[in-house]
Amino acid sequence: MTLLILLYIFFHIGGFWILRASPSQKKEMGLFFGLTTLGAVLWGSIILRHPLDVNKAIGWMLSHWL
Amino acid sequence: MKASRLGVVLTLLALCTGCWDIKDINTLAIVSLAGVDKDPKSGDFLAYYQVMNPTGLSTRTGSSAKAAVYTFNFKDFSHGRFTEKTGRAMPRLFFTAHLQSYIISERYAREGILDLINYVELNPERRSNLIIFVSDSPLDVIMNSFTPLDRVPGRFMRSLSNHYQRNFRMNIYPIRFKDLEKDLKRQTPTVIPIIHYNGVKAASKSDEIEKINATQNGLTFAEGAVFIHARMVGRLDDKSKVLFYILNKKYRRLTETITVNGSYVDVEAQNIQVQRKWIAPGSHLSFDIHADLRIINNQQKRKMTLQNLQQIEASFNKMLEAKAEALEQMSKDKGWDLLGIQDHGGNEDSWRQTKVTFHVTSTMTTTGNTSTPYLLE
Amino acid sequence: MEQANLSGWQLFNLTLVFIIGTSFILLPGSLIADAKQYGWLVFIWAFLYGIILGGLWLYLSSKFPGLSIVQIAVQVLGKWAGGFVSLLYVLFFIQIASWVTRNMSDFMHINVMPRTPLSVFNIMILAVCAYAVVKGIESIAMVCELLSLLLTLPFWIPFSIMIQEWDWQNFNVPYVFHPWETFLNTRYALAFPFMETVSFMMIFPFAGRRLNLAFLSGIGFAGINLTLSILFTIGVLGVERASHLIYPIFIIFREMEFTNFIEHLESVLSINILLIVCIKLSLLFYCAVLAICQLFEVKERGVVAYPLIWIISAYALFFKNIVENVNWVKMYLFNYYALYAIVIPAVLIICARMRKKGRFRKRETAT
Repeated sequence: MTLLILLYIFFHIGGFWILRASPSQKKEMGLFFGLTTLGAVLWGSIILRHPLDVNKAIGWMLSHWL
Repeated sequence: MKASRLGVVLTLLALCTGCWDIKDINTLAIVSLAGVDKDPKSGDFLAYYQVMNPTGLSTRTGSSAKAAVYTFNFKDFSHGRFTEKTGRAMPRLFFTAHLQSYIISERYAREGILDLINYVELNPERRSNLIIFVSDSPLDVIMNSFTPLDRVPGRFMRSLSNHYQRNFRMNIYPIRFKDLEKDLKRQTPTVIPIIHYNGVKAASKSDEIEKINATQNGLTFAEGAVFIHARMVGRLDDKSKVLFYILNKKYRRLTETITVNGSYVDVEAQNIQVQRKWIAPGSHLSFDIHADLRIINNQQKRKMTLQNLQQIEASFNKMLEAKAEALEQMSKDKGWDLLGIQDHGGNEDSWRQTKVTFHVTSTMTTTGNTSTPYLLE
Repeated sequence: MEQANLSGWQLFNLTLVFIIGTSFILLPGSLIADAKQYGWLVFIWAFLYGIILGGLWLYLSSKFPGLSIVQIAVQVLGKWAGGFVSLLYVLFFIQIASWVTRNMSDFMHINVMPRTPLSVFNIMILAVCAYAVVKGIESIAMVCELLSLLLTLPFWIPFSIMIQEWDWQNFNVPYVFHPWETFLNTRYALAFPFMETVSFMMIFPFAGRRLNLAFLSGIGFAGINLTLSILFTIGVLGVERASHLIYPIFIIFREMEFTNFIEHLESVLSINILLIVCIKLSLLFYCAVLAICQLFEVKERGVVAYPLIWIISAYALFFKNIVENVNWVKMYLFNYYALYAIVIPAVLIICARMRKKGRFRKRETAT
């Protein structure tokens, strides 16, 4: 878990540092941050053994609504 | 910027995936031959693994170890436990990807080897194209014996089977695990060669192979073990085994001795072709067999004429037909479908009543160097 | 959107590699278990179905030249509904990408490197593919063009040599063929891989005039390849063995030996699989990144590609093992893909007609 958080922080630092070089806008930074955070949340759920299993959710939806 | 990117890439290379599955060749115990026996009372498996010894195999003079292979044996109640157990006795990592042959004891074969087949098929370290032999001598004697001419016994057995392999159409000798798997749902048996150790004590010192008599403490392959649905049900003698391969498995060569005009003539039948035809579907099957003959030894006291050659051909045809009919009778008596009647259109319930006729034709193509034998007046 | 131009041959190769992708490793085992010796027939009707669906997507694309499916959705359905549909497609591309990644890492983990964790394979291959995506579709297409011959020959030459083990008796398994029942039981073969090619609607704007021919012939040729490989598998391994194995083609390569010297050719196949998966994954990754960029009007692909590695690598780990993966595919895949491959394109065509969007409008003004 600590490794995940450390990687998350370093990834952001690396990303923002590279983005500073090119003319960036708020939208791009927001997208970068949003996507990484979503990924980190999914990873966190896997590490904590409570995976936010989208496949199971889709399977449930299909078997209940079809 | 470029240097830092390079630095990042190089750092990432350190995470390369060789870390977990690293296999350095110097640390591997390369198994060339495996043997397995099952104790019928306790159900325990006795596994023997013959590991190649690289320093013993090297031909450099002055190498300290003379043994080309070392055999380790283990006992446990389930196949999968051996991989871990080997770590307690072998100083190197157990590596079976180079395994060439497997020997199964007769008593294990008679109990059925489906569990072994499942294990070999599931395990990604094993391949199902390993050749199998059944041993009627004690397995520990065979696994603890050195072999002459080819110092690695696994290779010795593999080379021996390769001689037969050449005579099969498509170069496939069907004595592998995958042939047993293929025949699991079929009614035609699979015949696996039986190896027999000629001596009493194992040739367990490498000095033994310094002796000139290679047959005395050596291995012979003669009879065949009949497997139906992965269980050994009986034995076939050598000639019946070869005939079985000819009729079912596209074996193309046969050496026979026939009597012509009161003398022996040894002929080799080459390029044997077998065709099945149902005269009456389900009730009358006909085999058409054709062979090209080559004379190896002719002890007749007469000149080789065209008529004489035709006599040899006719005699060969009659002999082979008689042998095939004997095989048919034996297979029906014992209930082993050695002619493959059921799998080629026959009826499961009435295959024993199916009439089978053999029609053999042959052509003498090669006669040897002499046209007339030497005679003493 | 980048200014890229794909030639007909490049599009053909991309379609071919995309469809063959992971299907030739994963599908044969299940198909032969479900359809026995008629497994090869399943691929025939599957690729015909793929061609028909391809025609539908090409028709939709022809009415909106130069636009990808997310752009079409926004134009036809408006900003909010179109945006929602685009998000669905983004999710779709991410899902296929993660399943492809998972298939590859499962394969490597089971057969080649059993001690390496799955996440390592995922992240490694995604990092490479993210780089390819940032370089653009032309780079991916050129790599595919370069590799296609290198992928085809080392597969088919050894495979053809295995004909020496062909046994016609393998086709004599006692099994009564019920076409409709088999069709229903093997619906997943229609979904994976043929319905996944709707992803190419993101790439259509880059293709030149030979789009229709290249795309449809790519589907057809891939279908023929897959049919032949299943036929070979049945003929060489037999129904009994092939239906019990997870990766029958890999086992065929593993057991190949000629001249007592050349053996262990499964390493050749492993490299083949790795390269094919790299290309398919790059393509899917590109579609996902492009869809997000088009939706949010972002020009820089790297901003989206690298963070997406986090999401795809995590998603790829949701299935606990390959059995769960295969079960999910058999039960839900066709129904799920039908939404993206049939329902949404059909709805878009109908709505476009009704609202007179794209080339539907031109026809009206002409009359």
